[in-house]
Amino acid sequence: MDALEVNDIATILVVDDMPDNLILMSHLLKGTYRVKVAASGEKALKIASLNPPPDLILLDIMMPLMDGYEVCRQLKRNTNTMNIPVIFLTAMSEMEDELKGLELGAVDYITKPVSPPIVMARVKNYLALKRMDDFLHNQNEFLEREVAKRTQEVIVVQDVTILAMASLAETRDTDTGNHIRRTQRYVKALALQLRDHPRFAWFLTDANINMLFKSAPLHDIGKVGIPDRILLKPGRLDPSEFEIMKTHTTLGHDAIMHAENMLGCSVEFLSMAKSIALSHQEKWDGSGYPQGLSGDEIPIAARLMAVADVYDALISRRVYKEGMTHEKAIEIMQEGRASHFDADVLDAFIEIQEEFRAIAQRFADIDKDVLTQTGIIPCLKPAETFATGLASAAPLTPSTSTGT
Amino acid sequence: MDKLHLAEKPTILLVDDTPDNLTLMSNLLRSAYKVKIASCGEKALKIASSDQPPDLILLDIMMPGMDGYEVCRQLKREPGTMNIPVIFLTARAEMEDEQKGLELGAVDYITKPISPPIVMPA
Repeated sequence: MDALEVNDIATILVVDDMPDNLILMSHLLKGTYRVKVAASGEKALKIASLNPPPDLILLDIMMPLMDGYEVCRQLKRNTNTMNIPVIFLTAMSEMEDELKGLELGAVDYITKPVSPPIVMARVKNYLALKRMDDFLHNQNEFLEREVAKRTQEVIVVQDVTILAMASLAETRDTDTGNHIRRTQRYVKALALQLRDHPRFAWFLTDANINMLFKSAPLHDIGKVGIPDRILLKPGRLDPSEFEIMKTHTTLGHDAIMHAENMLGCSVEFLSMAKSIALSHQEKWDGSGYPQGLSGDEIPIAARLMAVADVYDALISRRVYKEGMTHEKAIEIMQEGRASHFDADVLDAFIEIQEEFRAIAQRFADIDKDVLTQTGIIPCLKPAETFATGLASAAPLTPSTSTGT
Repeated sequence: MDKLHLAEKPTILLVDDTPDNLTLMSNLLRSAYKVKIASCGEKALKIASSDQPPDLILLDIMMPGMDGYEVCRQLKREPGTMNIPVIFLTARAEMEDEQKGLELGAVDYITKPISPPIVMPA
């Protein structure tokens, strides 16, 4: 057992009320071990609770006042002493006594008069067992810490990758990455609101809510494949351009799928990202795109994303439109209840609309619009006053079909 | 020891030339362990060196032909069996005998008649 080699000599505590027995046992043991002795149960408990504790206790049963059973019981009750192996030393050798002692947590019995080779053999065995046990325990703790550390690293890499990918898509059509931050927080807020709802509770576990939050930024990743002349067009898209714009859903889905295929295995959060990218433009009544899914066919993650995305699109200023007020956005979205949006998801949104407003304000674009529309009037800098003048075009499509 | 939770029950090899002792011991052990038995030293060595060696051997000393000491000596000489813990079961309780057995590499001694509570946790 090289791994367990210890320089320290093990300490054995011998407990017996008979001085002769203490002398006999310590003579036997002291050539190999450090020996401590206790002439009563009380003293034994005191020595056992010192730091460092003994490595093993040889415990007489028949003692006045506190007997060996009681000492053992108290040792096993205290977390500091419960792992010290106890061997009973006894003149009694009734089977029931032995069973009682072992049930109290002792590891073995040695019958008096003791046989020195047996005492030495048992002590050696139980010390070896204890060391092995401690070694495994330390090893497990070490491994658990190591796993936690590596897991944390993997999570960080994952987060950075998602944000980098999402930012690529984002920077093409807005000035800041705040749309990503807002929508992922709207989605999380909605998920938390709906987690106890009978229709959604099965899906909205802690793990899935976390995954939703992380994968939400990838919902528009497919926009990297949309030509600038369409993505950045400062006006209404014509039908053929709109058809191209719609492909951002399948482009995003396919990009993530290719990544998955290259990895050769499916990763949970990528599956969720894929379904959000593909289906966040679907509508409850089946009039959305790209697959025209309806009702519960639309993945829950995508239904939450639809509400978050539309709200953000409505209140945000784009190259082709002004942002709306929070109140106006709510009014328009209400019209889409059970047609555009899952009614329960929309109701949850209405219930926590103040939270949406707060998120919008906290992660406002560096631009006066979102702030003014949501009720906060920031100090205007000269540059921002100019910016407003440029954004006067009408919304891309009527009512709720904004937020491509 | 939960940490070492084994999927399979450990196997104990019982070696004794007295059928009554084999019966007694296997009745005691078989609810918690898989028990193999050998009624002589030669058989014990054969079972111990098989493809599925036992996890522990309870070995009687006084046996006709090959005695327990010799079985232990041979077990400890073979790389395939040297790491199997051996506990001697003996009617004798002479200190020199115990010393001899432990020096041969046995981990412990249990004196017959055995005490069931002591055999079980060993």
